[in-house]
Amino acid sequence: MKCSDINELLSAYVNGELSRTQQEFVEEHLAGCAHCRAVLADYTAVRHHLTSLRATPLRPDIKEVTMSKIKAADILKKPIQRWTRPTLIAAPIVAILVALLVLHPWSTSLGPGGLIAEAYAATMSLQSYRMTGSITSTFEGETSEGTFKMEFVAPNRHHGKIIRDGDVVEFIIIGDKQYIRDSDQSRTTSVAVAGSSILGKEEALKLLDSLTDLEELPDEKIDGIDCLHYWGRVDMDRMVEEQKARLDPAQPGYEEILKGLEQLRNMKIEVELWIGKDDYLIRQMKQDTQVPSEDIGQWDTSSAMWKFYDFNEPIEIEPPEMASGELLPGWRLVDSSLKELPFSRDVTFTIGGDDPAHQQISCRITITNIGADVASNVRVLLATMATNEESGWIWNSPGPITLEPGESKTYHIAWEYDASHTSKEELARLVNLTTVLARYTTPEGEEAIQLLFPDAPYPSERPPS
Amino acid sequence: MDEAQVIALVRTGDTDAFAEIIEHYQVPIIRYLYRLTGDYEVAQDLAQDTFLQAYKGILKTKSELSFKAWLYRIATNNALQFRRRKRLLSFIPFADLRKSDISIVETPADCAEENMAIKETLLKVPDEQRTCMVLHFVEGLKYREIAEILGVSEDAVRKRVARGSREFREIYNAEEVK
Repeated sequence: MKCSDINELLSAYVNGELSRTQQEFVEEHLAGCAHCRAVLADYTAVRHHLTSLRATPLRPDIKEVTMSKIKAADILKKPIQRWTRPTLIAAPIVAILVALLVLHPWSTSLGPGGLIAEAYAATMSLQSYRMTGSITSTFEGETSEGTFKMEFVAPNRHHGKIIRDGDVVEFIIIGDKQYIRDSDQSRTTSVAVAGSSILGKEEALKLLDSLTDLEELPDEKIDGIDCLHYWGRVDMDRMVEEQKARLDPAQPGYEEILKGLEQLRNMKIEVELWIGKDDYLIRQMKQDTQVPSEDIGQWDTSSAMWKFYDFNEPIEIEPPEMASGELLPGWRLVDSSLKELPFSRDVTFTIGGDDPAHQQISCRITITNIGADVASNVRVLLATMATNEESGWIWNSPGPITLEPGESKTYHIAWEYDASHTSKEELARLVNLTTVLARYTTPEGEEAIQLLFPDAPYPSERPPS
Repeated sequence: MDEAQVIALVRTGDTDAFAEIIEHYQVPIIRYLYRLTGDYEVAQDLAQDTFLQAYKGILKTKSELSFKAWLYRIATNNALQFRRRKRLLSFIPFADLRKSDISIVETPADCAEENMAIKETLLKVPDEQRTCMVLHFVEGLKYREIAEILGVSEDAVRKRVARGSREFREIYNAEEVK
């Protein structure tokens, strides 16, 4: 046997992974070959070096953030649950939304449309309040109970505590930052995820705006204050239509989301309101939700009641941090990567042409600002290795543009590739490795980047078969 | 609970059960990705992606591989894909999304005293061989298991470990001479 043959067996020999016959072969050769003995010594050294890396102390903590991503993906995947879960599980958060609604003088002649304009103005002017409430829900036959407390300081500070079936979750939300302290991590992430997606005044106003069959009931006293008393039902058909109009057919899972939305038509939400006669502020509210369960004929239900008080009283909400800036024990900052990205995108590549020496590659990029803010100074960049230039090729969009919310822009880029020495598969692989980025400036003046292609920062190829 | 039970639970819709999988594998997977990429932060990101893909995979597919092998396979693909992409991004002027070169090695604070020479030498060994070396020497997997993960023969694994070791030794010795 030659030294080169033995060489390849040596590392296996060091690891004790050779068959007995192979082992004998190697030992026999080693006995008479100084060169291979030297190589063996080297392998042993390599092994020793690398084994030392095994001891690297790591204290990773990706469990929570990964689980929250998994759950976020699940929520998106099951559109019906996106509604029912937040309503049932995170009902306190929904309560917070509605708590933002403080109504102005409201006569029965004022229809829901006018009411919303008034409510919006009043909401904007409210500086602070507190609320407390309770919820009972039945989901898939299991009943659960909870209570919650929340305080709010304009413009964007929330501090709340949710106690549900013995689990306690406390949260502080200041602008984009969400701090959580909890006794059950899996539950928290749901609340946090739901919170991040629906903690907007807009959604709440929509809910109220969509009330139909409004009825005035006899006045009642709440905590000694005379209140007007109303009952209404949420117009689910209208809500579904509005949600549908906002969907982008190009987004992943569009069909499934659409299907889920259609199921919402069967959902029932009834709202009862008690509004202070003198100040026109909501003092108490009750919401009953019924969702057809996956078992035919069954319903998942939730009933929540909440009270509001301490309007415009001084309330302080600060980050749960020590003077040093460190988080107080038990608190954690929820991963901000769950924030929605500003652009939806559609990037398609086409490879064409009969002559391999002149393959036409074209790329169509459409970006739409689906965020709530204006994205200014938007520049798109494409970098590809599907080019005959050795170091790749970069395309820059001509001049920066501004994209208002809802606005789109499409770019067409085409280039030629000499694929005489490249197989079709290889060319397709190279094209697939193209990177498309958008740079833009946020309203806060920060320079930001969103990856448009591929969809995820590090896509994986399918495991080889 | 054993792994098969946990996976069965996840398949029945118990998302929370997957946390046990992450708990169990996060250290080896991050360590493995760290050895392949040389960047601790990237390794953590890639590990998250790996677990996400594994979660989706559990629901969608039935792999003939053992779960462990399959998880390592996804991680390997992620790391290789990342390195390819990083090479691509390295010529983009503002591509500050990620560190642009492997010479910038991020280390967990705890292992600052770790032998930098070993780590950097390892990063210079070609991807194919390094993958096998790390799986074998650092993660302690058998050639048979590595072959399963990478979808190649045991013979190929043995050759890659042998060649990789030779390369490692040469680079390491050359660095020491400097």
